[in-house]
Amino acid sequence: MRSTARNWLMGLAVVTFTAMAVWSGAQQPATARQSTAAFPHVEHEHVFPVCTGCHAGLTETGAPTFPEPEMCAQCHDGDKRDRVEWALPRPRRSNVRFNHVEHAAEAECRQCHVSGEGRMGVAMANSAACFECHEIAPDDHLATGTPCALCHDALASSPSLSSMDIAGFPQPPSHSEPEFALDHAGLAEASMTTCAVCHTRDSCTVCHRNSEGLRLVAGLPSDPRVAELTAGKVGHYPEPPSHDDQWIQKHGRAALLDIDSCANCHVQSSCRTCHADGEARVFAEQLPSLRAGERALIARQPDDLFHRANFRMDHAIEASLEGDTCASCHSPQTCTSCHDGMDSASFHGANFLERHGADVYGARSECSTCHSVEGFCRGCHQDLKLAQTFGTATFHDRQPQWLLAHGQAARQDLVSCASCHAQTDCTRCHAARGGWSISPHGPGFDPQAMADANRITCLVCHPSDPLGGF
Amino acid sequence: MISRRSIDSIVRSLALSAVLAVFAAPAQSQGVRVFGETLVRYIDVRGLRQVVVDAADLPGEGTIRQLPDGRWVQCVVTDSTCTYFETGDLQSTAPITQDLRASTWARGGIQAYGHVRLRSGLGSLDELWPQSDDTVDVISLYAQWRYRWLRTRGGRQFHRSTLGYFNFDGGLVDAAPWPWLRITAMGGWSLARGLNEPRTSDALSSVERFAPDQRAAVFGGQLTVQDRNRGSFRIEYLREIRTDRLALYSDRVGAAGNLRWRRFSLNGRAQRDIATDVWNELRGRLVTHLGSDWSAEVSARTSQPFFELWTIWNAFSPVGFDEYGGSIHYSPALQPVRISIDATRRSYDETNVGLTFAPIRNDGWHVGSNAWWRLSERWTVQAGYAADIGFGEARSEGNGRVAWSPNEKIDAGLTVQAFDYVREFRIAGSTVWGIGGDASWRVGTDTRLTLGYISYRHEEDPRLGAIDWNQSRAFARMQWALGKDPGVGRAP
Repeated sequence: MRSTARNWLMGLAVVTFTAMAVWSGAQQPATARQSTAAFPHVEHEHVFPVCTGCHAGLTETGAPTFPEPEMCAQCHDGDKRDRVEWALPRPRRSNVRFNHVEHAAEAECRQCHVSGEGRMGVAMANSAACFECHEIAPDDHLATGTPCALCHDALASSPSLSSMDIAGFPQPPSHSEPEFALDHAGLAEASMTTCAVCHTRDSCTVCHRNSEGLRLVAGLPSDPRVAELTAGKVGHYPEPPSHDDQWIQKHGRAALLDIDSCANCHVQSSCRTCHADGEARVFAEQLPSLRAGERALIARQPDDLFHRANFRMDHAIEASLEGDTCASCHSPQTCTSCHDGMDSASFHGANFLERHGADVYGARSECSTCHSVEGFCRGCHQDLKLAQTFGTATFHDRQPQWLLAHGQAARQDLVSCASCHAQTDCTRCHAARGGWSISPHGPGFDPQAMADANRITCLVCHPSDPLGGF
Repeated sequence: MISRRSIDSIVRSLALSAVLAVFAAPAQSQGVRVFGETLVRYIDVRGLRQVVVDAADLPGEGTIRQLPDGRWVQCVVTDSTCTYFETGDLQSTAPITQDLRASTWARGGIQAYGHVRLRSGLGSLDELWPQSDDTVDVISLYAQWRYRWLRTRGGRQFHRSTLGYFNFDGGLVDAAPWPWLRITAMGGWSLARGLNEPRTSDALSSVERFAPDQRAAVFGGQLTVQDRNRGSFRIEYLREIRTDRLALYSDRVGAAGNLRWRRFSLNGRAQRDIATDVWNELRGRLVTHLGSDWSAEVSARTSQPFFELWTIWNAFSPVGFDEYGGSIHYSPALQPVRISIDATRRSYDETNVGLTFAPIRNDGWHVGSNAWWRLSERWTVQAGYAADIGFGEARSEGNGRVAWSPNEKIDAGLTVQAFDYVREFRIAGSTVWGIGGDASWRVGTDTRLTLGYISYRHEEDPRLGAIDWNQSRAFARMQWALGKDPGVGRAP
């Protein structure tokens, strides 16, 4: 039932709309219709000896350009000739800048208005006539280098144009070329008046986030008609040739040298999504901010966009060498947030407490850089009862002969041993003082070198200096 | 009920905060910025419990026997009892860490920086977490003056070097008179790495009977030659000597360099212990870009752990290993996709000990892969797999994550994880599954709150006697900052 009523209402609305449109067209004033009709100049050739009889304003400043209706009525009075209705034509919606008086002083009327045979075979002039005198090839009308402002007013100074007129402007072929978006700054610098024929500041701000700071753009007026057309449009940002696959490494210096160029496309968030810390984040303040409701063009990326895989666990070489480079993104606390053991979860990954053994045995990261084997590892292992003392070898139950086999494991990874065992666990057997004097020294052991460096350590196991130094 | 210890911690925290505030706000300062980070973690932990049984109740004979469920038992010939380990009680701890950092700078290149950490804990075993009894840590506290190419710094500070990243108490002078040359000299009193305290502190002596009884002086220097386009090279020396000058704690040289040429990048590092005449690290890596989307890397490394000279470990003739590896990465510059695969293989030097009939593995390998894909501006997925097979412990694990970022203020993610492991020369085959989520909310411009929770479920073969890893983890982190970032002048 409701559906039927809705259909009826829709039909009624369509009929009403159509009727109003037809009625509206029928009510157009006759003058308006007639003003667009061409005057039959040829038929009046014998009546008007000169053009300026009716169009005096074309050669004389201040005179009327078109005759008044009373002038027609002198012949078309209903007796001698039928009456005609004539009204002054409405001004044309155009941005063409043309001074008839100046042109009439240098050219005959027919030179531009000729359309047929006879003196009065005239018609509206078209751009071809302009091109001929001004020596512009017809194909070059929209070409780069053609001085648009020679014949056209700036868009902002052409109030007769509607938004639809502006939207219908032909696009010069150069604007479709791939390089145009990157190269148009030079053209604008050379002749901003050319750009201003079709564009206002609103055209530029669609892409240029820094439009307020650009001298050329700031020199353009804003215009509500163009603002209406560009509202909601998203900028087009082709990738400059400089942004090659090495650009990530090079862009910092380029930004330092000319951040204004960056600001043409980038906003603060473009930098800060990656430069979350450090001086670069501050440097980014020179870029414009995001507009309301916008997102940064560069979304947050993982670290490995800039750092090779596993960089977080294996960056010692770069960090020790490239301090200045690191500092462009990272502040000192970036290092300490991991290296002092605070941010362990984000550094090591989930449940590293359970998983860390394989990393330690494989020396995949330098644990001792951040963690004291004795103070950190052993303390935790002891609290968990994972660290046992001598005599409870069942912990290493994968090797039933562990007591005999442990030497190989110890020499292959003493760090892991020390993470549970204190030195006294070993000296119980291996010390000559208080132990069983089982020598732990391997074939390459250099006692003299050890003694020269720290003779005190020798005395941990030996009752006296084995080299006789003390 | 708040313990006396917690009250003491709070009092100390307030006192130190006041000191930092005073330190950070000199009358003539041009700017000051204070950072705070509060981290509260909840951790379930299961340890081991030693079980003693009567030897007569066990089948078989000898020092190593098996229980009916398959677990190994150690018996002592001279004793009538045997022992083995089983999973201990579930314990929980909630370590609380409060970090305070203050940075202040004034005209004329003067800057001061301080970083203090306060620790406390809650839960059934609050001292379980490492260093939880170290309630106050001064991690950094220094003043710095920079004038053109010269930088001097005094106080407790971290030093970034080819021999590691460590802090010390003392002074540092850094001069870069030309862009291609940098000379650094440093000296003062050294600290135990990872502890932020002298080696004579209780942190060492409580776990090590032969802990050093003397502090050490440290001094060293770096020489760096660099060309921004081609690469850089650094060599340095570092020596730590007991304050009574009777012995050294370390005596090392290090070097690092990188070289860039067209699509190639070569870098390497060397660390040598002069005292024991051992190369602790020799590493080289060659990276090449294969077009704009692909890169490949090969690496070689020989490594032997470094031990400070106050320990007896160097007398045990530790050996090192050689490792070779490679990786390949797909990372198109303009596509939100990253894929990488890597593999390494290592083999240990001859130890000249062990049992020929029951050798311990002397090699190992690692393979890993990771993929990341941004589906849209809001959604990102990541997945990875890694396997580490070697002596000591083996592991096979996979993980996946879906992240959602509806705007710049909110990030959230769901993480799943699974891993198998064999650990610590133990018979313990198990699979652990983990699933959890986290969310981060930026409140205002300089405050962020992050919450996370993950639960682990353990599937094990009970005959193997593995540690039960059914447990949960959670954390809450609040980060904030006061003050404005220092401005940076434009490049000339």
